[in-house]
Amino acid sequence: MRQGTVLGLYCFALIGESLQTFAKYLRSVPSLHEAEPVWSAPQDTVCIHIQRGELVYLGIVSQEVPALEVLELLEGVVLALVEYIGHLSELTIKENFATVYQLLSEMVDSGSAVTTDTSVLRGLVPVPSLVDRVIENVSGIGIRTEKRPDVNTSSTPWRSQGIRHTNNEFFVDIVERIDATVGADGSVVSYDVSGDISCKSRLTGMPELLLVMNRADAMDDVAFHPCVRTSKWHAERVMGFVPPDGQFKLASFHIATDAAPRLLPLQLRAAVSRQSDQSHTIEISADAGQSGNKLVEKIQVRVPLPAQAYNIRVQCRAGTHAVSNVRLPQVEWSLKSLSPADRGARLTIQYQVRAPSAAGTGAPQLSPSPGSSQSALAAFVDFEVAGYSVSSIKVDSLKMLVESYKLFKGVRYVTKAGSFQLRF
Amino acid sequence: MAEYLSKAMALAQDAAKLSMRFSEGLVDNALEFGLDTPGSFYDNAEYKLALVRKELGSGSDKDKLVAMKRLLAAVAKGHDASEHFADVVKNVASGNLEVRRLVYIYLLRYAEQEQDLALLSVNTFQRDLGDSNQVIRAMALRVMSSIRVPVISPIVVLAVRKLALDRSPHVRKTAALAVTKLVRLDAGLREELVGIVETMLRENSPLAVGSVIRAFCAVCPTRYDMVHGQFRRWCVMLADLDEWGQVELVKLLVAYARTQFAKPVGDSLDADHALLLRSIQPLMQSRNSAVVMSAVSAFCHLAPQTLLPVVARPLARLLKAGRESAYVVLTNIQQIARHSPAMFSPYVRSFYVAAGDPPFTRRLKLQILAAIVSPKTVNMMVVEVAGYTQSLLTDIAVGAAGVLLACARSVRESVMDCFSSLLLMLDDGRPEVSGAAMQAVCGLLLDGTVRDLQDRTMTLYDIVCFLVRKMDGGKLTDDGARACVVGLVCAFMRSKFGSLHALEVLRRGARSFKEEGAQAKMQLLELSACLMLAHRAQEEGPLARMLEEYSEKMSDIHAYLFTLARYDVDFDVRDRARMLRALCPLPGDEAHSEQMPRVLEIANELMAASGDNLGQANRRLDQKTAFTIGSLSLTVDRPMSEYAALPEWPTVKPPSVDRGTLPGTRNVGGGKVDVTSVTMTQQPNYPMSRAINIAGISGRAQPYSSGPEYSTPRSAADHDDLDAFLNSADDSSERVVHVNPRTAFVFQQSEESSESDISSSESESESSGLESSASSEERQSTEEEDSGESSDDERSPFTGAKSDSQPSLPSGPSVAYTGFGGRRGSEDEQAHPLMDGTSQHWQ
Repeated sequence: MRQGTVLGLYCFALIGESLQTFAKYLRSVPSLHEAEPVWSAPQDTVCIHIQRGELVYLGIVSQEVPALEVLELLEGVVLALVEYIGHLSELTIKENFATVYQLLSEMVDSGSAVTTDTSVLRGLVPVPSLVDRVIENVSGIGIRTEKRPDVNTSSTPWRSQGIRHTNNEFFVDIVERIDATVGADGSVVSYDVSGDISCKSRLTGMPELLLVMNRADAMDDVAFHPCVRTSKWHAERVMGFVPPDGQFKLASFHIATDAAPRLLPLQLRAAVSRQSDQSHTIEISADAGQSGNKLVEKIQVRVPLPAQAYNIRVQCRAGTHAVSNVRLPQVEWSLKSLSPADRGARLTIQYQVRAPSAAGTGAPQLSPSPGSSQSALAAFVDFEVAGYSVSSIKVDSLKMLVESYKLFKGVRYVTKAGSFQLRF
Repeated sequence: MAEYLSKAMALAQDAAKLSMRFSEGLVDNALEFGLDTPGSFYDNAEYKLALVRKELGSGSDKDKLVAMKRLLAAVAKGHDASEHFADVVKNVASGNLEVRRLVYIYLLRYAEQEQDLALLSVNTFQRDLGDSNQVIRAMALRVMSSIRVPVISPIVVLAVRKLALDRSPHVRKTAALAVTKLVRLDAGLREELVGIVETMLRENSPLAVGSVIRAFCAVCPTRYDMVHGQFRRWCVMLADLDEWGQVELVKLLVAYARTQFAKPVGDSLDADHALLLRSIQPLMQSRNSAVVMSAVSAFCHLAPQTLLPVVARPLARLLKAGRESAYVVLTNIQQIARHSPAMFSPYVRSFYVAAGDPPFTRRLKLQILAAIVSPKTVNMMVVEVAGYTQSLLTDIAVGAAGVLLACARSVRESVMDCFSSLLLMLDDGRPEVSGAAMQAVCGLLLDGTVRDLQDRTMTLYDIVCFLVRKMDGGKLTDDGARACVVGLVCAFMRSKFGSLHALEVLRRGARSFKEEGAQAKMQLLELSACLMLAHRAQEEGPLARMLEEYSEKMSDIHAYLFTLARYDVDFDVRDRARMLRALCPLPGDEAHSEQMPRVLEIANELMAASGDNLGQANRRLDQKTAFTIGSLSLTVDRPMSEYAALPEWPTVKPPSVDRGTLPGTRNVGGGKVDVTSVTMTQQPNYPMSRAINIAGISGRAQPYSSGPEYSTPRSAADHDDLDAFLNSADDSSERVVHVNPRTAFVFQQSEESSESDISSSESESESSGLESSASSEERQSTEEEDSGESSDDERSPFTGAKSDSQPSLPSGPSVAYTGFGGRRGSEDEQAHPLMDGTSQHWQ
């Protein structure tokens, strides 16, 4: 996409021109990241796009429509395509363009979103299975037999009748993310915890589940899957629902952090020193913080450096480091794990900066390429603590009503870094 | 042994041959089905279009499928594949559903071009309409209604009429969607379709209601009489609809409520109005951001002020949903914050600029930060923003200057911190940054915010000198900022040091005149004119005496500047010079000096309007059309086609109508419902009036607590404050104050009164020209008592500003120079018609 291969899928007459201008616009911005998601194109159209992976999904709008509806529709298209095709890339889309076409024609009807729920879509357009495709292509024999398409029009459109599983299981994953900005001295600038409750359901029949959390009151601002009865939640703080089959996101929540202590599983500090105008040193130290005695794992610290940086020397105590220079130089430091016993994990980056060009101080900032992405001077941190819930929210109980078979329940907690930044 | 070996050899050869043949076969096969390299089937499709006819004619579904894929791939890449239309249409009744779906896609692409051939397919569709499978029926109707061939529309209408009563909600949903397409194709069918839509409105399945609403909005969006009967049922049903349906229904119900309910006054609502809000509120917990936003929009446009704060939290949550939706959400928050910023103050941290934020997000976040400053959050905000001033990204640093300005203006306690941060920024190497800081500093000095600093280690006079020195040395290169400094000197001129000061600035300015930018040039010309006028208008008095000895030099400089300006490359500069020269003539020119004050003021307004960049950005924000929250028009900031602003609240209370019964519950007919029951999380109410002005970078934010300890001088009173400060600091001020006040003020006062409301003209008539500062305070205190019903917090700053400015006017010198403040005061007044202190709704 970046190089300009525009897949004109669903490219019906009126779109062509806008597509050209939009592609031109994308090339004009210094990085895809900086392209305005809602871009007002000439000819009275508006180009709304999202980026997922290496692809850009574009919706072209010529009349009033809620802006977020378009973004959500594009998001829905991506989700559906992932469900049908798997990994999305230019290649896989080309290979499956016919499926993409069929899906889009079911999802969007003359410009308005109709069906985006994948469980409903599955009834309308059959999911191509790998086995079918291999048999069909290699043997050249026949064509896969088609099931009669059908949609579920019951009051629970997300769950169809007559689902059977030999093993009845229900898994709950509580994934919490810490969004935090930490100052160089380790002080917390901003801190926020949000989480998702994802479930995997393999249950027979039409079970009705009741999920009770221990600190339901601490979860404020909860967003639910449509299957959750919101009235019950408001009345009793219990999630009652008829689960869809398979993987789904039951709820996402946010923790009111004003009152709660600000627990950071990872204590980070940074020191930046300038030996001279050209020579800089960044030192980052990482120590285990409060993580309920669990191991902090998969720690990754990514430090983007200014575009003018060169002669980069990196040392680290503990972990491994890598210097990449794809578009901008950046240093990545990975630590497998960090336990409270580990002390003094440290990364030292020394680099030199080319003197700004002779054009003067004003010029480099104005030119888009180096100026706009010229090192945000922060490190982006990623980590994971398995088995730990930073908000101490736990599942109290999971009960099944209606159906009466035995079911296996599993709960897992993970705390991850969301947008976790260390400022210098 | 040898035999054994040769046998083995033969075996191996056989095996090799076999495997070779097998792999060759595979390759052949793969080639045939386009698997040689991934994606090549798509890439090469247009070269094999010649095969399509044969393949479509063959009996094998597989061949047909391949042919259709080739065609669609070619279409997708922009090739014209219409020549195969006839062959394709033959397959419209194919037994294979996948083939059929692809045929449909192709058909819709080319039907408009090949109308006659397209008609051939209609029979098949009509047969499918009676199929036993609901998906087939729906698909047939969907495709048939999507064929943009007007000839068949009567047939489609018939089909819609029939399937609108289908037993499957999926089919009914498709029928409703077909209605919208029909209206778009042929507006003449509208009358006929209204009847069908009316039957559809009784729809009970949550699956189909959304599409029915869409059909209603397409066919007869204003037939609210048809909505009455469904209203309560829909309110209750709202939670069960699919997400797209919820968005549609909320949109319709908001428009309905704006025409059918009275505008909420206080906390009492019509029962149905309350029911609607109560039904919409849970949608803010949807996982779908479009649904959340539609609910937020509904609250913004329908809910009474007390309920509005519930939208803040969902909006803060949406910010995290990713780069794309964050952008849209921020544009909406920005508009909401213009009217009610206080509700966002618990979420200040959500608007901190994070590393990795793209430029558009940074810009919006900074603007919102400036808009939502409040006493509670100001401390942490100033610390945070002070960090931004050193950001390597120029736009963040420039935006930070605007936020600091807003902080200082709205919260007294933070003035010192903000001001010192801004002064530090002046040394920034980047001209944009130091320029923005300078503009902010000048702004703070001009509107008197910096006046009552507790810590007077540096007097105002020192600060101005300090700023003026910044002009030299080549560091301050930003044109707007230089113009600001000259403007500051201009406004400051009336103090006894000021005029000497001004003369020196003018002298230096004259030397560097040709290097200055247009704005600074104009401001220098004005300074020159002001000095000349001060000199001429006052034959006596300290100012005149001081200027006396420089008079000759001044005239020379004046003449020099105007001669240079006359031949300037910039149109505006030449124009300004011509005008000023006519009014403040050089020796030998014809004189009209008695009108100078008036024109200078106008000139200054024009000047400042072009010079004050930060203020300009702010004003643009204020004047931004208030689009419906959540609409695309708001995000792109221009009306999209088919954008319809929400109707205004009805002026007379609409008659009550029967809105149906609540399914499963008792009737909530009539009576008033206490609104507090609508929300579970009610937050403190912040009056709207305070909020309105606080918008955007460098917002002219208003003081949060204008208690008696600060007399919040603003706008019109700016320069007088400077004087007042100097006067109080210097005991020899007496001389300056009483300078022939009558001559020059005749005009200025009348101008003031024309700008201000009745209260100020009253005060003018009461006050004689000279009034002591004591009586001005007295006046203010009575003013506060008068506006007793609104608390100090709510008081709009203008009443304060006016009551201040009016009495102190005469104490100024006779140069009728209204600083930026006067202009701003009047502008703000225009920009904010809602300033009456009552809670108002916006559209």
